[in-house]
Formats: sequence, structure tokens, C-alpha cells
Amino acid sequence: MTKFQSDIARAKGTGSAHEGVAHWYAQRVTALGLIPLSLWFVYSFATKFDLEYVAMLQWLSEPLTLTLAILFIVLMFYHAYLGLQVVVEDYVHSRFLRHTTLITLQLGMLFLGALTVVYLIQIAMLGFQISV
Amino acid sequence: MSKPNNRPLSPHLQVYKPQITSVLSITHRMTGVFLSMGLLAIVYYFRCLSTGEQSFETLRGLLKTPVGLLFMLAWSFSLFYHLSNGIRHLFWDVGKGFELADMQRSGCLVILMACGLTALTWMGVVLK
Repeated sequence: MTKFQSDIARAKGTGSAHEGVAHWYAQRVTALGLIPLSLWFVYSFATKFDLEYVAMLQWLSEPLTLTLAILFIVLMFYHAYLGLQVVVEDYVHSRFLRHTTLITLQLGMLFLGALTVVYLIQIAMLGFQISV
Repeated sequence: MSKPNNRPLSPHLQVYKPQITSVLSITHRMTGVFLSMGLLAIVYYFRCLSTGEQSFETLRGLLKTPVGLLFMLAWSFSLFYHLSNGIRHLFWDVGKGFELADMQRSGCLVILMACGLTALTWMGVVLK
């Protein structure tokens, strides 16, 4: 295998880690999922904006609503991270700054996404208690 | 690893005349970044909802101010734009729509869809 490589190719290192496709693919799959989910979110937000507090809690505690809301948050955070990662990789040239930004983004968005899911579960529990 | 160098990076965007293709492309990125920032507002919205009625009503009042409405208008437009142009990207991913005429036509369609869906949403809100 190695003997077919030119000297310059060998000197330049091992090349791609072949992980690009996973990133690309995850971005497309989350995008596909977000087509119906984001339309549902905007439609619900617009139609239920003026709902009373208790009615809002009860609506969010319905199994289908809660499932869609959690999926929307998880896919949004995942898709947003994948997109922001590419933006940072393209525009932040200093290696130190790039890596610290990427790690902060990754951990920060994981934290915020998990936190939002917990809020949603809490909301659902409140709504469920009221309904019972 | 090659040595770091200070040679200019290609391409220099400022030497190109803006075209529908390039403008829509950078707008896709900008709306993506803006949507991510808006995601923080959604986190805060659910936080207030889980905290109690008072904090929820305070936030709802804040969203109804001109600044709040403008933010929601911008966010909804960004979402519809990113969604429409994202679908355009998915067509490219399966190898469709690469002819220059198709690119320009789909680009116009994206602008129309984004404006149309935003108008439809807000007309629905206002007329309700």
C-alpha cells in the first residue's frame, strides 16, 4: 500500500480521518426531522401564544405535545451545534481559540439542551398534577 | 504537519460581485446563527413556564413589546428562510437542481416561500 504513495504524500501525513460523512449525514437527518417539528413549533407557538398559564401547562403535559417538544429541542440543539461547529471551523483561525470555542460550544449546548428537557418534564408534571 | 504560513486564504469574497447564489448562501449561515441565538430565548421561555405563573406572564409581556415582536418576526422569518433553503440543499444532496437556471429559479422560490410563510403566520396571528 505504502509503496504506491509519493514521497510528498507520505511526508504530509495520514490525511483525512474519514469522519466527515458522519457529520454531514447527521446534519441532513436532523434537518429532515426538523422540517415537520419546526413547522409544528411555530404553528403551536402562534396559535397558543395567548393561552392561560394553566391551559398552557396542561397542553404541554399531553403525551404527544411533550414528545414533539422534547424531540424539537434535542434536534434543534444537535443541528445547531453541527452548524455552528462548521462556522467556527471556517472563521476562527487561531488553533487555540478554535478548539476552546468548539469544546465550550459542545459542552455548553449539551448542558442547555439537557436543561431544557428537564424544564419540559417539570412543566409536564405541573400540568399533569393540575389535570388530576 | 506543515508549517503555519501567512499566505492569503482563497477565495477573497470581496472581489466577487454579489449574486443571488452567494447572497442566499451566506444568508443561510447568518439565519442559522441567529436561530441558534433564538434557541436561548426558547430555553428561557420554558424556564419561565416551569418556574410559575408570574415569571411566565412577565416574559409574555416582554414578548409583546415592539422589541419582542420584532425579535419574533425576525426569528420566524429566519426559520422559514433556513427551512426553505435547507430543502433546496437537500435537493442538491441528491444531485438535483445544479443547472444555473435551476439554481436561480430555486433561489427565487426560496425567497418567495420564506416571505410567504412569514406573512401567512403573522396574518394568522393578527387576524385571529
